[in-house]
Amino acid sequence: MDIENAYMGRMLVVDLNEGTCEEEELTEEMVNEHIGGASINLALYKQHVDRNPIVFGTGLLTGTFAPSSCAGVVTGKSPVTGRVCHLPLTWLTAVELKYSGFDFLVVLGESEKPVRLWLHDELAELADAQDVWGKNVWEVTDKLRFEHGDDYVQLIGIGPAGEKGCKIAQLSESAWGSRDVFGMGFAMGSRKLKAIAMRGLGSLEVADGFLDACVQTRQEITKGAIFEKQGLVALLEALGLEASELEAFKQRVHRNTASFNCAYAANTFLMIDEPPDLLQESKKDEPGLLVTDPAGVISLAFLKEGLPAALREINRLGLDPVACGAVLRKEGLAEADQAVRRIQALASEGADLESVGAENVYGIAPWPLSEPLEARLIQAVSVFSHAVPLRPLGGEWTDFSVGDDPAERAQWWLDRMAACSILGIDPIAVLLSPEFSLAKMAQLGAKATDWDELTEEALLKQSRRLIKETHSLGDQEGTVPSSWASADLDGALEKLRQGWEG
Amino acid sequence: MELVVESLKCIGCRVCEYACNYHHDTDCSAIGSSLMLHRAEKRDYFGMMVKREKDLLLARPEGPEIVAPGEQVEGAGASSKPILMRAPCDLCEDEDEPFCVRACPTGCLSMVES
Repeated sequence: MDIENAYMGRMLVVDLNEGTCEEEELTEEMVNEHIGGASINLALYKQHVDRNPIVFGTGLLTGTFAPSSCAGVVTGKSPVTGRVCHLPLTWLTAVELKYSGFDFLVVLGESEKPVRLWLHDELAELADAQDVWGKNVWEVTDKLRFEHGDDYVQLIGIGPAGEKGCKIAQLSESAWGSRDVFGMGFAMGSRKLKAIAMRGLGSLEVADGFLDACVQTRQEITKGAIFEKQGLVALLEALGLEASELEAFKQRVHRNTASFNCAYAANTFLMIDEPPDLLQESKKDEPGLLVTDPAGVISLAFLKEGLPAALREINRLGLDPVACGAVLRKEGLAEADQAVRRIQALASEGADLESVGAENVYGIAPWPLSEPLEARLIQAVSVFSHAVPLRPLGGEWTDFSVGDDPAERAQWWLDRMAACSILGIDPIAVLLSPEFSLAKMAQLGAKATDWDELTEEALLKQSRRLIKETHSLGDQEGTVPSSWASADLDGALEKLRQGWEG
Repeated sequence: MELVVESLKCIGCRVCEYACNYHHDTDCSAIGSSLMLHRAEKRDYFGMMVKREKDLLLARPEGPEIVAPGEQVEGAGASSKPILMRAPCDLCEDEDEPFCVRACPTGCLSMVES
C-alpha cells in the first residue's frame, strides 16, 4: 500500500492543559488496520479516552481526485447526549487540514485561557486567543484570514454561544454552519479552544491511472441521478418540504456551490441585502449567507421570509439551527425580528433546551418530516450526525436496491455513513448517487493507494466494526424523544445489533 | 484551440486546479496550477483566474476580462497574487484534452477553436 498517495503521514496531539503540540507519525500499520478517517479517529479517541479527547481526522481519499472527496470527520463524546459521535466536515475544511500537513489532530484536556491553533505547512502553533475571544464566527474568520494573509485559510471554530457554555452551540466550518447537532461547539468552548485555522501547500503522490479512474466515476455520477440538478432546493424538495415553505427560500437563491471536488453543488448562497440575480461583486460586506445544511433549513422553514436573516444570525453566533428552530417554534416566534432577537439572547444567556422548555432534540434532526421507523432507528443507534438526511436523496429506496424493512434501511444508511467517514467522501453525495456504490468507493481507495486488499468486503467489515464499537461507547444508550418509544423500535434495534455481531 | 471558461457554470469545486497541477507536477496539489478560483466568500462572488502565456484571464460572473502583465485589478486580494507566479497554461500539450476540462463536472471549462 502506498500511504504517500493518501496521507501526509503525520498526526498532531495537542495538550491544552500543558499548552503543547506533539507530532506523531501516522504509520502504515494504522492505515492497514483501520483504513482511515473515522476508524482511525475512534482508535485515537480510545487511546486517549481518559483525557476526553476531540479528534479531527481526514479520510483515506480526502483531498484527492476521487469524486466528492471533501470530507473529514470529528469524533468525540457529545456533551449533550453523553455518547461518542462522528460529525462530517465538508466544504473545504478537511482538505485544508490534510494539506496543512496533518492527517489527524487530537485535542486533549482543556485550557485555562482561550487559545487558538494555527496549522500550516507541517507546522503547528498554539497561541493565545484573547484577541478573538468574544468575536462572532464571521469576525474571527475574517480576522484570522487577514492575519495569515490568505483567504483560503479554513477554520473550525466557535462563536459566542460556544464560549458562553451554550449547550446548543455548534462548531462552525469557517463562516458557515456544520452538521453538528451534538453540541461539539459547546465542547470546544468548554476547552477554551476558539478556533483551528488551517492552510497548507502540501501534496500527495498520485498512482498511475488514478485520475482516469476518478474522471470515469465522476462522469457516471454526473450522468446519473444528479443529472442537471444542483443546490439545496432540490434536496429540500426530495425531503418533502412543502412548496409554501420553500417558496421564500427559492426567491433568495443566488448561486449554488460545491464542496471540494463534488459534482453536486449542495451548498446554496442566499442573498438578503442584494438582489438574488446580482452578478457583480456586492459592495456590502455581508449581503447574505451560504447555507450548507438542509436540516437547519427544515427546522427553521416556518419562518418563511425571515429564515435567511435568522440563519445568518445563527451562523454568526455559532448556534445549532435545528435546536434554535425547536426553541422558536416552542415560543411561537415566527416573525424575523423576534426570531433574531431571541437567537441573540440564546447565545448570550448560554441557553439549553431544558431551561427554555423546548422538546429535547439534542442529536435529533427533523428528518424525514414523517419520522418513519428507520429514521427513529438510526437516531437510536446515534453514531453519525443526524443532520445528514436519513434516506436516499437521488431517488427512492428501490433505486439503491434497498427493500422496505426498517432495519435493512437503517443498516444501509449506517453503512454508507461509515464508509464515507472512513474514506473522506461527502455523505450527501452517496445519498444522491446510486452509481457511487460502496464497491466503487472501495475500488477508488484501492486504486489510489495500490492496495489490493481494500475490497468492498473489507470496507464493509471496517464500517460495521466502526458502527458497533462507537455504539458501545459513551455514558448511555441512544436517546430519542419519549414519544418515539415502541416495541417496534426496540425489536428493530436488537435486530441491528445482532447483525453487527455476525 | 483556446480554453474557455463559462463562469456561471462554475460551482467552485476546485478540482480543475488540482488537475492542472497534476499536469505540471504529476502530484495532487494546487500550488503549481495555472488556474485558480478567486472567491470573495461572504459576497458569493467567484470565478476562475487563468494564467496564460501573455496575459491573465479573469473569468468573472459578469463576463471575462483580460489583464495585461502589470495591470492593476480591482478587488484583488492577497490570495490572488500567487497566480502571477504560476507557470502559464499550455493547454496540456501532449494530451488529447486538458486535464482541467476532463476533470470539470459542469462543463464550465471547454476547448474551442481560437
